[in-house]
Amino acid sequence: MTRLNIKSLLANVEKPARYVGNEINSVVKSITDDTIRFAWCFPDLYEIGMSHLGSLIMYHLLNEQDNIFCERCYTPAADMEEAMKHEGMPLFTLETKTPVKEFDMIGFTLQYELSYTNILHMLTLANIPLLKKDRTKKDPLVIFGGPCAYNPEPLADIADLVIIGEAEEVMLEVLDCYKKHRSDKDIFLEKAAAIQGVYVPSFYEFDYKEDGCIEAIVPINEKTPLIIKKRIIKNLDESYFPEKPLIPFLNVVHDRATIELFRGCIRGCRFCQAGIIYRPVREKKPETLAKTAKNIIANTGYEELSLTSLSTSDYSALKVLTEDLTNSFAQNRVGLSLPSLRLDNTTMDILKEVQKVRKSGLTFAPEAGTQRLRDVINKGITEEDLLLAVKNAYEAGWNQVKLYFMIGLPTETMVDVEGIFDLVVRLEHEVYHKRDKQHTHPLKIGVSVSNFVPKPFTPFQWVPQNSMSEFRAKHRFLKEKFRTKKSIQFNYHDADTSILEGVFARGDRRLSPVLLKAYEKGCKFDGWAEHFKMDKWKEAFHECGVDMDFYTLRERHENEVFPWEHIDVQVTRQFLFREYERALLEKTTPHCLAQCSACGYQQTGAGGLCP
Amino acid sequence: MMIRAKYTKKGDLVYLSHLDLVRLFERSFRRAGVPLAFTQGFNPHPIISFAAPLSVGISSEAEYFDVVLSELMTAEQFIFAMNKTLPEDIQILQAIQLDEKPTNGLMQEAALMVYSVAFSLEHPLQNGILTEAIDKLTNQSEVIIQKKGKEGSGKSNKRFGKRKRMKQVDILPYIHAFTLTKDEDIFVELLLEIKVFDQATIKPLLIFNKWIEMAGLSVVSDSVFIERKEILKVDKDQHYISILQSN
Ligand code: SF4
Repeated sequence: MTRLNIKSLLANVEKPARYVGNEINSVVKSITDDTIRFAWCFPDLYEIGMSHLGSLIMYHLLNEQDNIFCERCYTPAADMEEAMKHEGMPLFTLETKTPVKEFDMIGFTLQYELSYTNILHMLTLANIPLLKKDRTKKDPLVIFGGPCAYNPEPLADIADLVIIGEAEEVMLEVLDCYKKHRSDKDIFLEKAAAIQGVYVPSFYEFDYKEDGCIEAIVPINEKTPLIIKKRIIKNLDESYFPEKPLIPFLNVVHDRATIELFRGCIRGCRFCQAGIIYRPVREKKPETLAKTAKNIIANTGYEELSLTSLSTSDYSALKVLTEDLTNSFAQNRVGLSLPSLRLDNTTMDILKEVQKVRKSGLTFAPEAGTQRLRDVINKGITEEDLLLAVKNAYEAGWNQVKLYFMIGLPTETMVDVEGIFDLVVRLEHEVYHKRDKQHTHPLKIGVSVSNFVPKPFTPFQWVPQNSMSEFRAKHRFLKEKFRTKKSIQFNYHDADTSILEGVFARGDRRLSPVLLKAYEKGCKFDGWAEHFKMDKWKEAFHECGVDMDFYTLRERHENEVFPWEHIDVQVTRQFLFREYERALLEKTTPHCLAQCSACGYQQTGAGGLCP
Repeated sequence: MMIRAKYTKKGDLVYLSHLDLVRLFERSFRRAGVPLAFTQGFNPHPIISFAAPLSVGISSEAEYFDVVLSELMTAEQFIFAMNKTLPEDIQILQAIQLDEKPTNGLMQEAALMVYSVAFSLEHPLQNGILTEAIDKLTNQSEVIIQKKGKEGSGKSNKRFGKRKRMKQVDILPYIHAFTLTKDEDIFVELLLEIKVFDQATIKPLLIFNKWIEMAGLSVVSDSVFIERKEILKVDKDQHYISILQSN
């Protein structure tokens, strides 16, 4: 085993603490011949990777196991990369400074499509061949998981194995299987492919039609399952959650303790992939959460605890839980943060109580500017809700509100785009012109507009994405409008990156070579505006003979075979199409608690709140 | 009441910035169950102040902070509780109770910084050459270096940051002691005591680099290891005394 001495690298790099490890609650184990060494690789900077809850859970879960040692690795920043190359040092893990190449397995979590080139970058820095077919028995196995892994096809040529669904249980099964078949990679992959939630891309072949669409997805032999079913944790309440989590020294993006209230979402917003792939809703008990939360604060000393989920207001015991936690944390001034809120009255009351300790900014996500379009996307928020919420927040003393919108949603016209501006202006007017003498502080309104990217496993998986010129025209229009409103801070997301994200979100394995080509041309850190190189990407697509528009601008046929057809999230395609049709009719669908819309889960008996 | 504590910062933790360190202590207080007093307002903070921040990459055996507690705690209890939860490379060495806030903050009290500077020479030198080189520097009438000043007051914007003007400083008034403490083969160690005037001082590396340049010495790159050994304050008679001692 090699342990690199990285001291000489650290003298001249920015934030050397990114690379030294040794954080409080980090794990170092002794290594024997039996130890399975797993390198958890996050394809972005330390500050981003250390903010990801799933990675934290998996890091501690794997290290709880006797024969497994999981170490971490993040993408080095450009200055560190320089220094490593200069000294001829390969990519190493934080815990023991071992070259990543010496590990049994390396796992990448796929959180966003724009991090894919960083995966190639990290493999390259580790001296590991990029393509699965070029790797030998001596190289580590390369494993992917995370939300983007539900359509892992663009990475098919790179992956050895992909985890579909929630990883806690299946990962341990995979490692158990590895323990038994460590000596033979091929046998291991064959055995692992039989585990529910494991996908081995090299065991499938794709046939294409003349028009470029997929003809068929064919398993290479009878032993290979036809369909790969996602995994979920049935009993989330009893599932592992780290109570002594790592505490970064650096100020990372989410620098606070976190507990997870539930998985899944009852809402069914039609643009939202998380709302489908994490179905069904599974809550943890408030007693479990309170105990976990108190232990985490005692073990970390964090000054803030975040209660996360896809829609925190929908947690059935939110009031009880927040009361309990606010009381026990008041003395030590530990604040609670509640992201992803719907701003109904009950939530506002809870929020007022919680934020007596520490006040943070408020965010609302109406997503669309008109009621018509909000009905299309099934975002059950009315203008009255929103006006009331903002007014309430203002009167309760908040002085900062952020509003999130999307442009490019299906059926959108310029009326809807203008609707964003009109809605924001009405909100501001409501607060300012009706305020009385008691409330005179200014209200800062921030408006943030992102570009809609159609995602697999959503009712909008069939729709074309807006073109670059459509996005740009809408940006220009809004920018012009908001220019007259100096009091409102208007921000929008760059169209280039949203389009590339759109290509990879619904892409197939013909994109693997493009990815390699783009990386060769110097693309990496694509999620960072200052590093993104659209011209290089265009060259790469062109040279590989792959048309971006084929993936983004095409309305897909109802029965088209999608690249993710063999992945089963247990929500039926019929349901998704039904929802798509209802969207076009501007009809809303009730949420799961009001009425089950038979998305497919009701038949699986998988637990959660489903009938 | 208040606790004044002396602590170390070593090993990998020398790479923490001052803000990282503040955060680390704030969280360690909570883990250790130290009863903290907090500032008022929407974003309550513990009331803690540090003596002269240390540059990133420099090791130290003597750092200091003051922290205000909401309940009584003995120095021994404080040290025990904190050291159990602090990382190995940051440990409390000593602590004292202060009944009330000192009239001068901890920052203002620091008057002398004591450093050791260890390095390796490319080639061994004859006896006496290094001492001569030191004398040569200290016997000048002035030794001017370029130093980054405070942020300029000129035009600035968020994107480009504020310009820090370079200014010229004579380092000699800052040097209280500059002596050779080890000279064996190529391994050399210096003791460098640097004064603080109105919270302004000179980084040891700047003095060291200037000396190397003036003496024309060739030093193995990356071999320089600087460690802060002590921070002292002055008493009524202008003697340097420990920060933990009462005036
Ligand atoms: S089965 Fe019904 S209740 Fe369950 S997630 Fe689907 S629609 Fe919601």
